[in-house]
Amino acid sequence: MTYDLFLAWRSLRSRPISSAITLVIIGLAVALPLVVLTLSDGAKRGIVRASDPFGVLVIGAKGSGQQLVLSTLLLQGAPVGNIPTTLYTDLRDDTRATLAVPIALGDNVGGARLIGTSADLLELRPSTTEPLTFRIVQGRFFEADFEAVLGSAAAQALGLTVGNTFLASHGVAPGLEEDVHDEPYTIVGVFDSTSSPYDTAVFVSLESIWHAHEHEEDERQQTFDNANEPTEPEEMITAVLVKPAGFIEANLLWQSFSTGTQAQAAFPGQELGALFDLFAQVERILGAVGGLVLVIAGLTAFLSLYNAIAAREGTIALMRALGCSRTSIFRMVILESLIATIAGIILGQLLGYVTALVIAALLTAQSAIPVPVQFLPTQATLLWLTPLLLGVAAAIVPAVRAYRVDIIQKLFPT
Amino acid sequence: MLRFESVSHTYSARGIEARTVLNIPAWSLMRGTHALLRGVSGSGKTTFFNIAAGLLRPTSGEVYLEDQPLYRLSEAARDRIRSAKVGYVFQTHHLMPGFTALENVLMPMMFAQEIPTALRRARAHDLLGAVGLANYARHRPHQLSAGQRLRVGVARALANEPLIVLADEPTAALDAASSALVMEALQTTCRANNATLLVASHDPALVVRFSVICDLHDGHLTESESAPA
Repeated sequence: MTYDLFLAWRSLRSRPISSAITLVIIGLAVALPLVVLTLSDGAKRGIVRASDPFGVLVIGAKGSGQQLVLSTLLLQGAPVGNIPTTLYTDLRDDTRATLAVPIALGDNVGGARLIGTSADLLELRPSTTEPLTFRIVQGRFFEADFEAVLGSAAAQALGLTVGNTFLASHGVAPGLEEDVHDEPYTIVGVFDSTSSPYDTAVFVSLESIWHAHEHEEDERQQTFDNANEPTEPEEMITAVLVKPAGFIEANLLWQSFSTGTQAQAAFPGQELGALFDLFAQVERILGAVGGLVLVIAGLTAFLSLYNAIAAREGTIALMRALGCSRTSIFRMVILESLIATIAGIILGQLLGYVTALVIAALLTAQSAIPVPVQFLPTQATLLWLTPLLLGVAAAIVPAVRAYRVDIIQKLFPT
Repeated sequence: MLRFESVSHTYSARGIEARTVLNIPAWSLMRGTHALLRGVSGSGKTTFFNIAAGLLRPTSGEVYLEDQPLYRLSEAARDRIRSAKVGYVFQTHHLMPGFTALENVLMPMMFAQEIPTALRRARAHDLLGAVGLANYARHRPHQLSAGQRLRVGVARALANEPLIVLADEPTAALDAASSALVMEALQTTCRANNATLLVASHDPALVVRFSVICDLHDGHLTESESAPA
């Protein structure tokens, strides 16, 4: 076996360009599905982890449940709509809920979302056995209007700290035209990291949001003065995070909102599951592409090896004349393909994980959703076995050709 | 040691008239004998060597090497015998192109696995030294002259301390000095191992080196004893 390996290795080295091309193509064929699978898995884990610190039922305006969960928990996209604050106060007093946290979205500061909420936020935790999700690491929680607490990532991104002030803009993201509210906020605290998109947000009281928009409403009233007496601006919020008292209560709450017309209730797990189904479809398509690339890599390996064997028939005949058996020659060709395949797989795995890590970092930076890249044992095994089998399959015909080399015909042509 | 029994070989192909190149009713060579095989070009010397080496199955008859009937054995068994017991110097040097002179000499040792791994490299160096190529161990075939390549081929044929060495025109491309060096290396090594040496050559200067002279003519082999030098 030792000399088989030595000769196979030397044979690969004797045609560096063709061997390198084969190796790179196998590497790319392994890296592509690996990146897709790793990122898909990472995104799923990231989304679950990002919504995990809350462990809640999300109540919001009627519409897409998925959008409600994504906009409320992952801070992705625009909120579905507004709901009256009475829903929050009702839920706070509802025996089916142990905790209700109001969420009012709509403003931003330098791209960081401004979340109007209450001190109930501090009571959130993934489960009763786990520590509280939100912990102040600097300063204190807001107590008055126009006081703000920064998420850990927001503090870094905005370069603000306790004692600084800022002006909020209208909209969940910076617009082309700045629509800045007049009232400045004063930062009174900074949260520890929660490993969720909420780290990128700035937290203020609901009243601060309402007062900021009250001013806008007044202006609108003056512009469209078609009412006899001024009306109070309606106090609206975008969602309520509800901690149900138990499994039955959770379902009862969900049922009551599903049948009502005022709002909807969404289970994050259920909505994210539907999102993951979309992931699965994309995975299937990209998996097919990856399979195709693997087949192309197999064909490339086959062509490279077949041509090499055709060119080396004289050398093979010489080895046979020197006493090398046909089976050793056959084994040598298979080994040659296996060496190239294994090197290609190692290259592909390295390339795949490094690429996935880079893309994951970019995705995390863009979305604030952590995308953990993890070693996937099942997929890794598959991405070893499939190319290895292809490598062996690609070597069979060249190996048979090498096995059949006629010593006399090649060494003593007439 | 090497025995031919009713060996004949005929080349035949579609559209070409069949041609019998060998017809040897009985012939043998004792162990340790150094014999010269003469014959004009196309007389069947290479065919004779290929059959003797177990590379070419004769049309009829059997070849015995140390009383083992070569062509009644499996191909794998013949491969093993060839690698361990037969040294073949090809008419054209036939070196492995991507390998150094040293590696070319090591090659049959790797196939035969008869010589311990630790000793192979030293033996290959010694053999290259014996054919005057001590300083060319790391050279690849394309970096060597035709004569040097042939000498590497000789060193390679001696690598496994074979029982029989078949050398097909080993001095054809060499000058007188190199020719003498190669023949000396072949004969000294064969004598040391009590190996049989069969050399095919046109070179009349070699006759004096051999005790047995065989002439191949029209497929028939005749044997005579050489007059001592």
